[in-house]
Amino acid sequence: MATEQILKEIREFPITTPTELEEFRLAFLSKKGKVATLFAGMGKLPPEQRADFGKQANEVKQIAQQKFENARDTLEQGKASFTSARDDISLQAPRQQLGSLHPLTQTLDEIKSVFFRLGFSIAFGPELEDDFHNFSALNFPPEHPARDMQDTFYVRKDVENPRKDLLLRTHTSPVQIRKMLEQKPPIRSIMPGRVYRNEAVTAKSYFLFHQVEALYVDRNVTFAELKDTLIILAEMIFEKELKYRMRPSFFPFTEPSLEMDIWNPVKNQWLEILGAGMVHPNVLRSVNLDPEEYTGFALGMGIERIAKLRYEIGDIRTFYENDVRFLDQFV
Amino acid sequence: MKISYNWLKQYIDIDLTAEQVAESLTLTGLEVEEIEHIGSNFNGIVVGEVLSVRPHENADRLTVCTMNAGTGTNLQIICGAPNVRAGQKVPVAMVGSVLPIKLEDGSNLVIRKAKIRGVASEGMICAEDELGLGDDHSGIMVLSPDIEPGTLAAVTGHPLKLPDNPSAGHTSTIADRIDISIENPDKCYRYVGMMVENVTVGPSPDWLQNRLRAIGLRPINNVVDVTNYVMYEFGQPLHAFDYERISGKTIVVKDYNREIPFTTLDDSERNVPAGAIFICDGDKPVAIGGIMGGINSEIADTTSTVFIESASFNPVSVRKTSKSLTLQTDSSYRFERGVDPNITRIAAARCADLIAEISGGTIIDGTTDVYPNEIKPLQVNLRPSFLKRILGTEIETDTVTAILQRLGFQPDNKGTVIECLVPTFRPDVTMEIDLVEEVARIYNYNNIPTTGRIAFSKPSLLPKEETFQALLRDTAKAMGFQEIYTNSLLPDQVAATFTDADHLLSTLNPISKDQSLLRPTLGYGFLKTVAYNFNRLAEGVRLFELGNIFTKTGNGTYHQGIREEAVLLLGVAGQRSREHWTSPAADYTVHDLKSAFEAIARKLRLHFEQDVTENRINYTCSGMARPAYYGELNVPALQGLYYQNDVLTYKPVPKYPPFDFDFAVIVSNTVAAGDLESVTRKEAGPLLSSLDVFDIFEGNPLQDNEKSVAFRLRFIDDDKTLTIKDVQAIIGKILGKLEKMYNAKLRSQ
Repeated sequence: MATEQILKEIREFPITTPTELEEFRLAFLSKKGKVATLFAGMGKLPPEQRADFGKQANEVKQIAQQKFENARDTLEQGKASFTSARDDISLQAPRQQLGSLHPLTQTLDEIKSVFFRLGFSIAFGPELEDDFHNFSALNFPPEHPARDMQDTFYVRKDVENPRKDLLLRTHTSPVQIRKMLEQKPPIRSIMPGRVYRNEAVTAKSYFLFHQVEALYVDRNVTFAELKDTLIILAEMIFEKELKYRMRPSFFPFTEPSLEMDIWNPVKNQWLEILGAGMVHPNVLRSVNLDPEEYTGFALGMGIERIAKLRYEIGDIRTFYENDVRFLDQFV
Repeated sequence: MKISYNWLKQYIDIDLTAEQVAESLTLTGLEVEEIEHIGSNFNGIVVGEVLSVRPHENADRLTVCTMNAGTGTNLQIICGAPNVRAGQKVPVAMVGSVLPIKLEDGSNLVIRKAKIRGVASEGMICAEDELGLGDDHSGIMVLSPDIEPGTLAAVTGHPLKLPDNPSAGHTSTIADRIDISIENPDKCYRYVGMMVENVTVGPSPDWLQNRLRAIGLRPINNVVDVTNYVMYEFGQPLHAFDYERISGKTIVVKDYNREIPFTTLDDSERNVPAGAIFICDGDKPVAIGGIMGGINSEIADTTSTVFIESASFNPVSVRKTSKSLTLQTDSSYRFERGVDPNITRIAAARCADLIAEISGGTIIDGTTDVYPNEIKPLQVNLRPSFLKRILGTEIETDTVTAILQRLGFQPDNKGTVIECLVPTFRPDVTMEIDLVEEVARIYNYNNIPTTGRIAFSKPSLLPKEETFQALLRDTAKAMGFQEIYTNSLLPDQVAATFTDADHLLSTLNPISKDQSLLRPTLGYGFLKTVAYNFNRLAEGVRLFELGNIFTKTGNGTYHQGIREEAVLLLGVAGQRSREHWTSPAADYTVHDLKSAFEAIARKLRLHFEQDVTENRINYTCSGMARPAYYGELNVPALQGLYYQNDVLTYKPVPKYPPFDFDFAVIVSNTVAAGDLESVTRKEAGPLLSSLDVFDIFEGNPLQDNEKSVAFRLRFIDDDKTLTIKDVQAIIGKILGKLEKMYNAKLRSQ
C-alpha cells in the first residue's frame, strides 16, 4: 500500500541539519511532495473507498507535519543530536546552594526599612546590663512588683549599690536610657536586640528572644502622633490596610501606655502586635531631661511575634533549632 | 485573676453580656484574656422543684420524678441519683440544653426527649460535675431552697446590691477580750480586729463554694472561705485566727532583728528573714504579716471563737519577705501592689457579718482599730494644658471632669488646674501624668483623633555598626552561607573547653545547668547546630552567625572588666558536594573555610592571615566523626580596620596584557606552603597581580621527606606590555630568596 510505504519513508528520513529539514519538506510536504501526490491519487479510487483512503492519507499528512515541526523546533533550540550522554540538557544539574538570612533577621530587616523610611536611625547597647539602665532609670522602683513582669537572670549582685547589679537585659529599653544620656533631643531611633527572661521553655515562650523598640523624644511629641506613627508602621509592616484597636496597658516607663491589636479575619480574633506609650516623666528626669520641655514616645515589639504572624510559625523554638530544612525555606 | 461575671453583677446593675463587659474592661485597660464559661453555659438549665417521686416500673435503681420547672406544665424526668426526694430544688437540664459532658465523638451531651426503659423522660436532673461546677457525682446537686423555680441556675440568684455592713458602725472596742498594738507603724499602717463567737466550723453553703470555685479557689471551711470571699469582694486580705489559741490574749505587730523559724499553715517550716513583720501573740509569732498565717493558730473544726484580722502592711516590706521566702500568696500579691488602708475596717465588718451569718456565730460587739497615722487622700492636680500637650488633642474640660468624677477623683476645676483627690484605693495614681492616663483610657484611646501626618526631625546617619554588620551578613549570604541564631546560654561543663574557666560569666539563677553560662564563643552553638542537622540526615551545612560573646577579660566594653563583643562565625561541616554525575561526593576541608574568610577579606579590602592571635581567624576543627570547621572574627576590630580604608574609587582596568609564569619548587615537607607563598608575594613586588598554588606533589620521583609546590604568577604593568625579560629577573629574585630561606630547589619540567 502506498500509504504504508510513505509512512516508512517518513520515519526513516534523517533530520539533523537545516538542510535535511528542507529536503524533508520538499520530499513530503511541498505542493509536489509525496503527501500531496497521495491526495491527488484519491480521485481515481472508487467512491466507496475514498473515505477510508482519505482518513489514512490525513494520518500520513499529520505524522509528516509533526515530524517536521519537532525537528524544526529541536534545531531552532540548539538541541542538536547528542554527541555524548553528558551533553543532554535535560540531565539534572547539580544543586546550587543559596545563602540565606535567618527569618528573624529578615523580619527585623523589613521592620528596620520601614523605620528608616520614617526617619528613624538605629542604636545598640549591651545584652549584659546593669540594674540602672534596665530597671531603675526606667521607673521600676526597687522592690516594686513591676519587676516581676520580667523575670530576670542576674549575673552579679552588688550588695552596696543594687543599681549596679549586673543582669541580662529583659528588654531593649535600656538602650533608650543610653541613647538619651549620650545625645540631647531630638532623638529618633530604633533599638533592636536580644533580650532574656527567666521563663520556662514552651512553644510560646523561650528564655531569650528579640525585640525592637523605637524612641522619639523632642519638643511637642504627642500621643496623637504616636497613634499616627503606629498606624502607618503597622500598615507598612503588614503591607495592607488593617483593622486595629488600641487599648490601655501598663509599662513602668511609659504613661499613658497602650497595646495595639490587629484583627485577624481568618482566626476571627484580635492579635497583639506591639506595646507603646508616652515616655514617663520619671524616665526623662532620670536622664536629666525636663519633662516640661520635652515629651516623647516609645514603642516596642517582639520580632519573634511578628515573624510568627508573618510566616505562620506556631512554635517559637523553631527559630533557635536552625534546622537547615527550615532555613532553606527562607533563602 | 479571674472575675466572675455573675458575681460582678451583684455589685453593678449592668445590662451587658459577659462579652460586652470583657470588651469594655479591655478598652479601659483591664485586658480580658479569655471568657471561660463555667461548665454549661446554663442555657436551658433551670431550677426545678421535685413534686413527687415514684420507682421506675422496669428498673430498680431509677426513679420517675414529676417536676415543676417553671414551664407551666409538670415534666416527667427519669433520675438515677439515690438522693432525689420530693420537695428538693435541683438543677434541671431541659430538652435541648448542652451539658459539659464529652461524648465519645468529642461533642457535648445534648439533652433530648427520650424513653428510658419504656418510660418517657423530658430532661435531666444534674449533679455538680455534670454542670461543670465541681467533682461531686455522688448524687444530684441540691440547691438552696430559696431559689425560685424557673430562674437560671447560675451559681446563685442573689438580688443586685452592694453588701450590707451592719457591723461597720461599732463605736466600742474589743479591748477587754484582746489587746492589739503595732510596734512598727512604718511596716504595718493599720490593724483592725473583730471577733465572732459560738461559730460552728463546717463546709460553706453551696452559693459560697460555687462562687469561690468559679474564680478558681478551693473551698476549705465556712470561716476561711469567707475571708477569701471578702478579699475578692473588697481587695482586702483578711486572716482568721482561732481566738483560743492566741496566748495572753494579746496581738503585737512587730519585727525581729534575726531570722525566725516559723511553720506556716501549709505545714512547712520556713526561716523568715530578719526584718519581716510578724503578728505575735503573748509569747510567739502566729502569722507572717500580709503573707500567711501560722499552723499554731489556724481555724480548726473545733474552733468556736474566731479573731478576724484586717490589716494594712507596707508593700515593700511584704514584697521583701515574700521574695526571700519565695512564697507568694493571694494576700502578699495584693499588699505588694497596695491595699487601700481605708477599706480595712469595712472589710473586717463585712467578714464578721458573713462569718456570723453562715456559721451560726455571734459578733462580739466592738471593733479594735489601731491606726497610728491616718493615710489621707493625696491631692494631685491636672493642668488641662498638660493634658493637651501629652495627648495632642483638646478634650473639653467638662468631659475631663466628668471622667475624673466617675473615677472618684473629686475634681475641682480651678481653670488652669483641675484639683483632684486621689481615692486611697488608687495607690497607683500619684502624679499628674497618672491622671492624664486615667482621662485618656476612659475617653478611649481609639477616640483620640489622628491626622494621618507625622513630623520628624532631620534623620541621623545610620551608625557604622549597623552598616558594617549588614555588610558582613550580605557577604556571608552571597557566599552561600545560611544564617543561624543559637542560644547564648551554654551548659556549664562545656563552655570551659572553649576558654579559660576564669574568663567565664554565668548567671546566678539559671533555669538549669544546661543554660547557665554566657557564651564565650559562637563555636558551641555552631557545633550543636551541626549535630542537630546531622542527626536529621543533613549531608552538609554551611552556616554563619553574627552574635555577641561575653568574657571577663580586659577593661570591659560597657561594664568594668566584662567584654561583650560581636563576633562573626563562619562554619562548614559534612559534605561540600553530594555524589552527582557532575562530580564525586566531597567533604568540606579547612581550605573551604579559609577561602570564605579570604573572600570576606577581599570584600572588606583588608588582608588578614590565618593566625591564632586576637582579631584574626582561629580555624577550629572539631573532634566530630564528620568534618566540621569554623572560624570567628571579632566584628568591632574588623569594623575599625574597614573604616580606615580609603573610600572606594574606580581604578581603570589594565590596558596591557598580563604575563603568566609558572614554576615549582621542591622543599622539605616541614616547610609551610603559606610561608613560601608570602615570601614569593613579597619578592614579586608591585607588578604581581595574582598568585595561585596550582599543584602540590609528593612521592616518586621525590624523596620521602620532600614535596613540590607549584605557583602560577600573573604580572601586569600599567605602562607597558611585559616580556619574558621583565619577568625573568623577578622570578630569579624569588627563587634566590626561596633557596636561601627554605633551601627550595626549582623543579625542572
